[in-house]
Amino acid sequence: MLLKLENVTKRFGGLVAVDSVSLEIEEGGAIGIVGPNGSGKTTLYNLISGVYIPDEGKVIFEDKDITTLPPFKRTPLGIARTFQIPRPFPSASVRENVAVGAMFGRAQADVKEALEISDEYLKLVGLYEHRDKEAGSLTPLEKRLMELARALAMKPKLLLLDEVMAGMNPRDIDRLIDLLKTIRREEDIAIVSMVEHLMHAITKFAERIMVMHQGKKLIEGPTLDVLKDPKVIEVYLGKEAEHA
Amino acid sequence: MRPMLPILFLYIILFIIGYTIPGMWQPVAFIMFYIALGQAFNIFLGLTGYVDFGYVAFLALGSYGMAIAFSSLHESSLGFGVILIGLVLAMVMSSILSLAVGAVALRLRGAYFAIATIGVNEGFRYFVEGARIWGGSEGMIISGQIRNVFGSDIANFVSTFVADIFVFLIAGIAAFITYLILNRKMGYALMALREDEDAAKVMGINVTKYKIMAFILSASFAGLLGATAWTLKMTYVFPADVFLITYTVEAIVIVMLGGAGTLMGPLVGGLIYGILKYYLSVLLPGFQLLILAPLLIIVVVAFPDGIVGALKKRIKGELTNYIR
Repeated sequence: MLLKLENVTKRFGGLVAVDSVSLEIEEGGAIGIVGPNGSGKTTLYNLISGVYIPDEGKVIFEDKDITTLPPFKRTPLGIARTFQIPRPFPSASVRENVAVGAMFGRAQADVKEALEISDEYLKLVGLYEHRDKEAGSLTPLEKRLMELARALAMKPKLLLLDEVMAGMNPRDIDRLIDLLKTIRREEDIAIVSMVEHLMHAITKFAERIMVMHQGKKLIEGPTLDVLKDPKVIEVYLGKEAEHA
Repeated sequence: MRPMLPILFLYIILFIIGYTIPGMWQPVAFIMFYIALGQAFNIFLGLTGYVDFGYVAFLALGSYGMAIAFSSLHESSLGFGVILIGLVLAMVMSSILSLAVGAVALRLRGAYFAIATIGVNEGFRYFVEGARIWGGSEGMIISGQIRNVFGSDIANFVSTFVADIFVFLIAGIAAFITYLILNRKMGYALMALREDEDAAKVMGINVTKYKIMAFILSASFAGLLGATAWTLKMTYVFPADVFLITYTVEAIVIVMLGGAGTLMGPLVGGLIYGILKYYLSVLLPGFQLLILAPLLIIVVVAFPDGIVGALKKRIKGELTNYIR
């Protein structure tokens, strides 16, 4: 097992943002985490990447307890993430942005290597011709692709994507999903993708889905089973009886 | 190495002007002090984006380090070895203080760090004066000790020439260290934490480590500068002179004016600031601040990235290899 969350709980004052959630992710797996705004998805990411330390429970990565490790000790193990609102290093070039990922992620590359890795992934996401631009001058979509390249350049074993498809048109989404599938196949990266809505796109990509609701795990299972589950329909569409 | 060439070139020109034109050595040394101050402070302020209002305390400690070396070793027969020991002492003392301040204050962000450091300088000054260590408020006068070590001819040569040569060297080495950092992982780590510290953390960068490294490096150069440009040159150390917050403000102005985080910025900023300050105080004594202040405001408003920062954005082609 690549990542194991054992009953992790995170409280902010009286609010229980993540309430005793357990989750297992296999090497090379593809999991979708779905949940409305405020359901605890981002907090869960922060617990995995080390921004927060859980109040209860354990985070285990490749049989190693990483519950209390700071982020800079987790990335070399192979954990990478993107942000919901892209956070480029705005006045550095696109190429340098991605190179930072290669230097401090699992790749731990030196500067020269990192710039080569950066070029490689910029080609992959289709930003190679923008590589000398200031990252702050990219469009929101390009920034998101750059963040993806930056996370990939870290050579992670586990990639956490935060709303990476939000605001994209269907054609870009299809392209991105193909890209993610290729990456998974070729580099054997487990990919966790988090979205607010159970959109069609996530079902095309994820093999398993976990639905979160008010900090708790509502349901987890193979994508098609989850889609048909009455509890999920209730959370997203309301009770059937109300329509009758 | 190409970005170092224009800097070396300008240093050599300044040296030649000072050395060959009669009466120019003093103004050149005056300007070089500000360039060196900028180069040293840029390693911290420029590369991390953190403002340290207590920076002058590191120069002050360095100046005490040199004074202590002379007052305790003036009966030895070490000769120039005393200067060497003084330099080492200056570096050690200022880096210990920076480690102590940094370990606590560098866990704070941006403005909170700046506020936390304001007290360091004043606190240390009152500690020295109040606890009556290192001569208390009377300071340390080491002109006699320097004469003991070298004899009066060489002592004079040390304070009028050797001290200034050290300032040249410090400015040059500080620029070279900046160049090395910029081209290494440390430079990228500092860039990332300056631009977005939270994102840098998640990217796997141990931000506290890199901030403290930059802080200690910058403080050691400040210590060397205090030891040479102040103690060796003036042959005395007075707490009221060396803990003067004006120098911190001047260092900030020079770095911002030239371009924070650029390699050439402190040279350009120090050159402009030094020349203006020197000649305005000669031509219009008493008016220099009145003229300097609005001028600096205009430059900072017109070039928020500093002069070199603005230049870097406009140049293209081969030139980009030389300006950093």
